[in-house]
Formats: sequence, C-alpha cells, structure tokens
Amino acid sequence: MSPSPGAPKRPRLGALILSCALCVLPSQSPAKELILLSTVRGFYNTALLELADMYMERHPDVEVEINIQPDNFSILRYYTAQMAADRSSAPDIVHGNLLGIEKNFHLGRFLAVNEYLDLPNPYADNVIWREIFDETFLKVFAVDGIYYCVLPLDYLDVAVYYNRKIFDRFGLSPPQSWEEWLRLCVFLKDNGVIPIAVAATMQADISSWFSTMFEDAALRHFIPLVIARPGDWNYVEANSAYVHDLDDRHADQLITINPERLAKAFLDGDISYEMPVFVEAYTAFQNLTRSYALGHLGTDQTGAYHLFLTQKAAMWLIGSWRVGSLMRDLASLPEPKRFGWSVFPVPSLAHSESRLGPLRGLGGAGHQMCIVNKNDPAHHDRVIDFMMFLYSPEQSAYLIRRTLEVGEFIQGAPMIKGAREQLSGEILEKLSGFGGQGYCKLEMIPNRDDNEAQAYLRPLTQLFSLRRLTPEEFLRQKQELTLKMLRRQVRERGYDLDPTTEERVQ
Amino acid sequence: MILKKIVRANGSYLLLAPSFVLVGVFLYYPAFSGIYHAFTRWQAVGASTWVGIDNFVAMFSDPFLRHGLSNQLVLSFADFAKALIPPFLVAEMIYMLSRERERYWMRTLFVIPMVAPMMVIVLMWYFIYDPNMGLLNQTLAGLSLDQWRLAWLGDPDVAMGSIISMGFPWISALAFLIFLAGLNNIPPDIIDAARIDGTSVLKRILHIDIPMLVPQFRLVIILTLIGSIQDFGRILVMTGGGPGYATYVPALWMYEQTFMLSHFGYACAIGVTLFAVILTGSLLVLRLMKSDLDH
Repeated sequence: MSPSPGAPKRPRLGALILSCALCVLPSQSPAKELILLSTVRGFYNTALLELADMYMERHPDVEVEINIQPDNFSILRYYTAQMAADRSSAPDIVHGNLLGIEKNFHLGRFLAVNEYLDLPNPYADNVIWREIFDETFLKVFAVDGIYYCVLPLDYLDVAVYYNRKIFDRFGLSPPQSWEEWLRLCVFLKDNGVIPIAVAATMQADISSWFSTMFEDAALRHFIPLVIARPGDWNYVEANSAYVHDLDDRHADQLITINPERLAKAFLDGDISYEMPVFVEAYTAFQNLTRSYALGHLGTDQTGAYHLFLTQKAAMWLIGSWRVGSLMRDLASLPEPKRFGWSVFPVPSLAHSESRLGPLRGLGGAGHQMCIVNKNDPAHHDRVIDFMMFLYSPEQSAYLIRRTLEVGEFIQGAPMIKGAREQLSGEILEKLSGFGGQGYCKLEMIPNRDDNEAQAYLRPLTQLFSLRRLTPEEFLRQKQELTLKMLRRQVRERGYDLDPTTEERVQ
Repeated sequence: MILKKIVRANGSYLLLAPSFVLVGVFLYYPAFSGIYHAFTRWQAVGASTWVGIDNFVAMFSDPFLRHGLSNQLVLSFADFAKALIPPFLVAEMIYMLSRERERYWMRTLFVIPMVAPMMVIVLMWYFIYDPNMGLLNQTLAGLSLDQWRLAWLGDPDVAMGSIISMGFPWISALAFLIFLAGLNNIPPDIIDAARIDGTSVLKRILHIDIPMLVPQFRLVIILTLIGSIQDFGRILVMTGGGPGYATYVPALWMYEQTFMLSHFGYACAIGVTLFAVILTGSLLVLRLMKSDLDH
C-alpha cells in the first residue's frame, strides 16, 4: 500500500544511517581550549554561567565549562578523583574550601598567582590586578604568608544571629563580654528558651570555628617566637613594623609566620597546647557548649536554621552566607511568625588570667578560587585571563546584581572593588554586622589546613564539645596529635627546620 | 582444540566476548589493581611507591580502625538478627495463612516498600531522629516523656543504637521472599504428616521448617555479612562516624582515606582486609552450615 498524498514520508534507511554517521563523526572545527571551573551549588551559579558565555563571546577559541557540585565535600571527591585519574581532566579552577590549600600548593597541585597579580588587568582598564583586591584579605589565605593561591570572591565571617523579639521580651541586649554571654545563655535556658542553635556534623562543624577563635587568641602570645625575621625565606617588610600588642586585633595581619620556626617551636616544646593559656581558652569555649541546643552533634545546618527560624532558639551561630536565605524565608512567613533579627560579633573574655586577647573573626571567603597547576604555562595564562575577566569591577558587579536578581544568594560582602555598590541598603546593613573584628592568624595554627590532622582531631573535638573530655585531657591528646602531624609535615615537605632556607617538595 | 570448540559454538563465544571484556575491565581489573596498590603509597597524583606490608602494619595502630572494628562487630551482630528473625517470622505467618488470595496480598504489601530507595529511607530516619524537630522527640514531648528525649545521633552512648534501630520493624523484603520461597518449597507431604501427628506450630517450625530452610538461612547470612561490612552509606549520612568514634566502621574510614585524605594505598589495604574478612566469613558459613538438602 502506497502512502496517501500529504502523509509524512518515511525516511529511507540509507538517509538514516548517513545522518547518524554525520552525528557521530567528529566535527571538523578546530578544538577549543577548555577552561573548567568547579564550584559549589547555590551561590552565584546563574551569573557564573552567564559570565562564562560572555567570555566565550569575546574569545571564540575558548570554551568555559562551569561544573557545579552539590557541596564542598562533593568538590573534594570530584577533584580528588580527577587528579588521581589524570591531571589534565581535573578542573582548572576549583573552589578550594575543603581541599587543603597549603598541602595542594606544597605538592605542586595549586598555582601561586603572585606574578599574575602584578600584571595589568585588561578587563579593568589595565589596572594592576592586585589593586582590585583587599591586600589584607589576600594575605589571610597566603600559603606561608607569601604564596597567593586563593583568589577570594567575597568576605565571609561568622557572628551570632539573635532574635530581637526574644531579646526584647526578656529585656536583653547583645552581650559585651564572653562572661556576660554565658550568663545570658543561662538566663534564657532557665526561661525555657534554647539559647543557641548550632550545627556540628561531620560536614559542617560550625561549633569548632569558635574554638579556632580561642586558639588564635592563645597562639597570639607566641608570635614573637615564630615571626619571620630578616634573613628568613618568607620574611616581608611588614614584619619589621610589627609591635607585639595582644589587644591590637590588627597588629599581625600583614606579617608572615615562618612555618619552620613554628614547627620547631612546637617540636621543642616552646609552644605546647598543655600550657595554661590554652587551658583557659578551651575551658572558656567548653563553657559555651552547655548552652547549645540538645544534640548539636546530630544537628546539621538545616536543623540549626529551623530552630532559629521557628523561634525555638534565641541565637544561631553561623556565617554571613545565611543572610540572604534568612531574609527570604522570613519574608515568606505569615506576619505573626516573623521576627526582627540582627547579629553581634563573638564577644571576648573580659577577665583573663592568661591575658587572652580579643577574639577575632575567622575571615573566610565564600568562594576561594584556586588555580590547578596543569604544568602548562600557556594554558595557565588563558585560565588567568578568564579569572581577570571574572575578577574585574564590571563583571563582579554583574555577578552580584544578577545573583540577587535571580533569587540566589551571595555569601558575604563582595570582595572586588566596585561590586559592593550593587547591594541594597538592607543587605548592606545586615552584612555590616560581620567583620571588623580582624582576622584570626590562621598561619599560626599548626595543621589548620591539613585534612589528615583535621580528620584525626575531629572525634576528639566532638567528645570535647560534649564535655566527655576535660580541657586538660583534650589538650593533652591534641598536643600529642599535633606533634605527630608536624613530624609528618616536616618529613613530607623536607623542612630542615632552618628558617633561612626554603625547602620545596620536588 | 579450544579453537575447534569456539568454531563449533557458532560464534557464541564471539557474542559473549564484549561481556567478558567489560567484566574484566570494570570488575576484575579494579579489584586486582586494588590488591596491588594495597602494598603501595599512592596519594592520588604521581606514581605509587612500593611499601610492602607497611599499610597493613599501620592499620594495627589506627584508632579509627580499632574503634571501627568493635563497632562493626556490634553492627553486624544486629544486622544478622534483623535480617534473620523478623523476615523469617513474617514469612512463617504468611505461609500459615490458609487462603491463597490473602497470602498474595500480604506478600505484596511486605514487598512494596522494597521499591523505596535506601537513601530515602535513611534520610527519613535522619529526620525522625532530629533532636529538636524530629518526630521521635516531638512524640515523646507530646506524651510528657521529656526525660526520654535524647540526642539520638549526637550522643555517643545512643548513636549506634539509633543506627541499628533504623528501618524498624526490619522486614527486609529480599530476606522475606527468600524465606517464603523456601517454605513454599517444603514438600506438602512432610507438613501433612506433621499435622496428622499433631505437631504444634512451634515444633513444626523448630524441627521441620528451620532445618529445611538451612540453604536459605545460609544465603541470607552471607548476603547480610557482605552488606553489613560494605555498606557505610547509612552511617555516612546519619552521623559521619561520630560522635567521637561511636559509629565509625572500617569501610567508612576506607572511604575517608580515599576521598578526604587521598591516601589511596592505605585505603586499598583496608579494602583488601575487608575483602579477606568477607571471604573468610562466607567460607566459614558455607562450611559450618552444610545441609543434607545440598545434595
């Protein structure tokens, strides 16, 4: 039976095979240079994809692929698997939050961008690229104080969110000291209100950030011992201007710590976690854990957030990246369930026997972009060119504006000059509660960026926060672990513990 | 000779070849590669270095494995109990139903939950156990049993019990079907003879059903042994191994060594050890649970 006129004709078998073959055959157009950027879901995603398209329009010979992973752990798994398989298939730019930046740099997997920072940025009227960043903030992430492996996109800090409605009901105001805070928590608990909601799961141990602040306050005592001196391989001019003042939150921000002096000080016992200053710091921190909501170790970030959002908890320990979602979710609640909120910085001890200095901010970056070393300088140049495009005032402003337009969130105040103006007054007001406290000197904390050390420390920290370990016992085990990990690091990095000579892994 | 056989098989071997190649590349090669790398130091990037049995020696002083081993024993013991007892009892109850239609519906009802993905069930229990907003503590509070409210996943004394209790009433559809199929295969004349002799239900179960179901019990035990040692997903999602070391198991530590710490060599050593334990356990079960029915 022949097909009726007007009925669609069946394609012939030969034509089908030919079209399939054409689809399968490789395209004859020249291969584009691929730049693969791997980041975390939920923040800036839409704007990043659009900016990648804009870059490709300007550079038709380049293909930028934005790889979005569900969370930081997924990035870690993805990055590890790709690097294990073949470095060339690994991302060129990766959000390095959990990757262990220091270790990756020392193993030659991350690139230091020092030289690139001194080049003019063609996407920013040829301004020297470094000038677009906040120098102090770049310094926070510099490996050994001098190698810039992280390009921060935004400021991120932690603070205490509080429910103004609950505070007003009990006539409370934000505490001015640690002691006052503890008393406030006890008062709330006695009145049937959960004082503090905090997440402390393996994926996100927010509680441990506050112990880091105390550790920073205690370690500041030892800066004169480990600061890089003239002749040391990572000495910088700022070190000569350093004045040791424990009460000055900013005195040590631009100085460099010599990692070999630090390792030696620990190994020789000049610094020990069993010293009274650490015992006082950790005792103060452990006192706060009494005010956490029930089962903080089994509470994830969503659980802690719900406690605060439903007004079961009066305070919430978290960072600036939740400002956007809190504003959105509160606006979506019926009027009677809404409440006013604000943030206060983590208060410092008013009276300290060991002269613990003020607690400082953790000074993180929401997006810590690191360049993966592919051992291909020409490709690195191309990747950096894309980063200059992304980290230019015009594109950064677009990133922020577009992110807010599509209902996604920013993680904190924008880092790149010119981008801040894109934020509304309300968001700026909320974000102003973060920062301004200085930044913890993370270089001083041994093993801070070492995933292995952190993995072994995690169970101890958890047991400590449950008060199953006394501060003395916890610090004894922490000291033992620190020495073990430091010896490993010294071995792995080939340190000769002579601060004047730099050793690099071959 | 072999060539002749292949020719005589009219190309069947040729058609099977892709399957053999895929099985070889994706199953056997990684396994043998894992065994080789267990004797090396390999940190994801760069060449691996032969270190002999160092990785295996290091396992003896690893606190995570020390705690993980005792946790694994408790978990596996509980898994065996959960996989054997409730499914067997339910299978017996359905077997005893007189009407085929009732049997069919009950069987279907117990098997339907099998279609729910395991991770969905795990996440559901995660929310049930939430200390402040979860169903369990909310129910206890509603019943004025506040003193019983616990940090189900955040207390080292309770967390392992909470993991074990997940999935209550623990009627594994697979084990249930295996037992039910076994019961249906018992020759009716044996059951009839027992009935004529006036044997009670309990006696029938103890002296007829259980001995006749030895091959089924053996299969379920081996599957449970493998699953219990290999499956760390539920712990990873629920507690991440914590609080402290309370719920760490060796497979979870192996996973962390691989993807968190890039210690591929050490992780392979843990994997090889787990393989040896599973293999030995399975062989022991096969040897100890021999049945006349096997012949």
